[in-house]
Amino acid sequence: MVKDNSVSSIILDIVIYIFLILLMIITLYPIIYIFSVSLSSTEAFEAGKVMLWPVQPNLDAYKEIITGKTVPMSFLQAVINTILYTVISLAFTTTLAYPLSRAKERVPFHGAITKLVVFTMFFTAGMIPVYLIVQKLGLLNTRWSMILPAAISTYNLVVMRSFFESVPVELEEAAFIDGANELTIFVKIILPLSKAALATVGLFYGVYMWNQWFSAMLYLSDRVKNLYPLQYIIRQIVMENQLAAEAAAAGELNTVTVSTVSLKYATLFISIVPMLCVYPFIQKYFVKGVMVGSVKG
Amino acid sequence: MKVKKIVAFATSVALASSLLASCGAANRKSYEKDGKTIYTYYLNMYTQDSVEYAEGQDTNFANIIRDKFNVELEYDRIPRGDWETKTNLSYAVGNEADVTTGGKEPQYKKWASDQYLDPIPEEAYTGDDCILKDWKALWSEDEFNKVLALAKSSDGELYYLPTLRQEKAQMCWDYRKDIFDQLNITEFPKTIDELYDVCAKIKAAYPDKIIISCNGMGTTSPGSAITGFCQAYWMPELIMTQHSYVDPVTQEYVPYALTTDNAREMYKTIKKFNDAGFIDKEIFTVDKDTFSTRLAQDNCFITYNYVYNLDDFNKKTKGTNADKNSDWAWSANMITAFPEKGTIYKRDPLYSNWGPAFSAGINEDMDRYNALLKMFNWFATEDGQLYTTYGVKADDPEVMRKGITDNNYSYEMVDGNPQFLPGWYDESNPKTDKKKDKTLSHEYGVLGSQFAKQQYMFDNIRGKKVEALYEAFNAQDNYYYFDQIPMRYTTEEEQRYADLEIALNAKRDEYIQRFFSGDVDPNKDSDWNMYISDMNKVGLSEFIELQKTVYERTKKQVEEEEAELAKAEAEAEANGEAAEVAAE
Repeated sequence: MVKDNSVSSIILDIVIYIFLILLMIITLYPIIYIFSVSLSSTEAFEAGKVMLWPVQPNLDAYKEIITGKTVPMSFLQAVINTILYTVISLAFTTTLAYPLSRAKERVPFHGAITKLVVFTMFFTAGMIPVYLIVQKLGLLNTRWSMILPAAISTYNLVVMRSFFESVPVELEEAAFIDGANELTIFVKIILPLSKAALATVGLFYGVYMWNQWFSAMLYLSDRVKNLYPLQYIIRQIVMENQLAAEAAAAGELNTVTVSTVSLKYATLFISIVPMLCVYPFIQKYFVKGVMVGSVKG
Repeated sequence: MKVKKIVAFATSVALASSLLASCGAANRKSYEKDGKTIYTYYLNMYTQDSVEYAEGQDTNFANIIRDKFNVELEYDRIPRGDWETKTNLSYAVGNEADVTTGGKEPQYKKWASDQYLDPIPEEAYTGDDCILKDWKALWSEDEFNKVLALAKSSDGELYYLPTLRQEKAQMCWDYRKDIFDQLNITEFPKTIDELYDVCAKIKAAYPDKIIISCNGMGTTSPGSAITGFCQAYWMPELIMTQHSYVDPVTQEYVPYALTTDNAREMYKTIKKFNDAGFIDKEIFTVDKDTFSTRLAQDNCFITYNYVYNLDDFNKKTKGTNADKNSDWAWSANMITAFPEKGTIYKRDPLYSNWGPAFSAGINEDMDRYNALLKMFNWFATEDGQLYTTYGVKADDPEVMRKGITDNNYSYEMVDGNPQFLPGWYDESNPKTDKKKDKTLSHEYGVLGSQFAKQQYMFDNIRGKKVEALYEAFNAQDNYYYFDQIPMRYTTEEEQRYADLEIALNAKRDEYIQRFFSGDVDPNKDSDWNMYISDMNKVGLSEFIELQKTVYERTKKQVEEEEAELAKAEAEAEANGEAAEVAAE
């Protein structure tokens, strides 16, 4: 690429850089602010002294989180759920998306299955029927109640199917000639060529499960509170103020425990960190064209 | 091939076992122990802390209930924020608990009309020797009749046990007395005009500060932000949820008060205060944390709040600066826009509605049902209140203090008063720590809220302050409060009411915000008419008609019930006298 050293080009570069830096500040500031409040004293926060850097810095909130049982356990549960769910969902999604991406003649009931899948995009059974199914399958109060009912996202399935459709059939034909069966082709040819799609859809699934609290609320009871994922705990912490106001308005005595601001922000910060760490590693797959050069001649 | 078979077999086994697991739900009815029938129940309750709960039944706390009433409780504890969704779901799918606590009256009435609940047998709370006599005795006879009139459903049945509301009045205007003194303001204002003048005086001295703020974020948007102003304009504090009232002076029924002329005057006043920079611009969304920042930054000198929050306000205002002057005080002056007519204050209701309700089918075995009712009745006695407030009395406190025995005791009597043992959280003692010390909620969740706090504890927490405020209001001339109105909706009316209420609330809240922001001006007839017109479009007229119909019908129904009750009591009295004469 030839470098353009004209004045207009340099000015344009400067404008672009200033804009991007501003954009970065706008994006980063809330995260830095959350981190700073989590390290500051409650009094400093209430006095409005925390703007960017921690004031009267201390690690009390993090100590409380680490020494307490709830947040570390829920963090662990969220990690386990996210990994399990991502693996299971990818397995189910790809194994359904691949046959649906192929010619109708090769897959029995191709049309009917496709229609059934698309149907679920527009119509859902609703909370109570799904709950009854989960209950009848004995999944209540187990980790699987959060994972299995949402194991396949139709949207992700369609994305995956579209991606598989773009993989040339000629590759499969070549593998057939070499003696590979359908499973071998899928595992050894199609999946390795689909890393970008797998990473993208895997990230969608991972983020979905990481942020998931509703199914935990529905299907888990207090008896298995050790299975509560982090986001469910965060939701409870965030709701404390509202609940305290509600309890006070109802005339209840001192019944709601309200966390300190620094504890709330520390918990929020901890919940952001894993996704912040994962994104940069996945990002490259979003833009990488893995299919380039796979077909010759 | 072999591997495939094993995988297929393992998959089948996993599926079958999961199906079988769902068939293993416990059938909690009763069992025999030492020749006694022990009745077991699931009890649904909400939790609002992160304590780990006691499991199993072999604790002194559980044994007392079992020994006294043959009752064994297994708690289904649900985080408070999810309680409504999960409880509704449990009723819908048929795996509800035997007993539900923590509901609100409309929920109980809705569940009753959906036939999810069994009524409390009338004989359980009528007569002098009924099962629920101690619960009934929480109120005077007149009060109890009012409670029944309010709490009963449209079929005339009672579906839950209301809880005594111990606070008679707790909301008032709180203000920074040190600032008032500094500016030579000798008395808290009594009228809206006086309030404006006081705010102007403070604003002149502190031009960059907010004068009136409030912890306004609540479940009923826009929460408590403007409730002080509502009362100044002759509307109940809870008008956002109650919508209608009976005027305490004229006894006239006023449906949907927030579209009346009084409401318009209130909106005008709020706008005037806002334009002058007296009111917090974020007053509708200020949550507890933000309100704390307002206090710490001297951005609130006047607020409508609880009488017992002043210590906390002073603490927040001072922050880390112990030398900072902060003297929050409460005022017995409520503000009115109609000084010639009188002043409104909030008299708390006679009862709260988180008492227990009993799921359908429980009355199939009346022995089982009665055991439960006896237990709840005991909670209303002095002993029961000691149990629910303080737990289990230590037989030998010295042993407890030395830590030799287990955690099965929680209090001792000192100079005739109960006192928590060391290591137990005591909400009247700031030196104890709810997060670190043992709590009674660990043993039985929020069961401690039923039906009243033991008086000694209540007095130490807030009782004395609440009583002082109530007496101060009563000492004022022409101070009135709004009585609760019995409203018994049928199932169809309730559904229509709910639909209309959602639409009306959304439109009302939108206009409250627009009046406040200046987007529409309540002073302009055209803007006000637009508000009324928009409210009518979402069903205001129908809602008013519905409320009027239900009000008139319920009033008649309650009058008939009271007449019947009076007649029955007169007959009982006459029969008693006749029996005495015959015996003589």
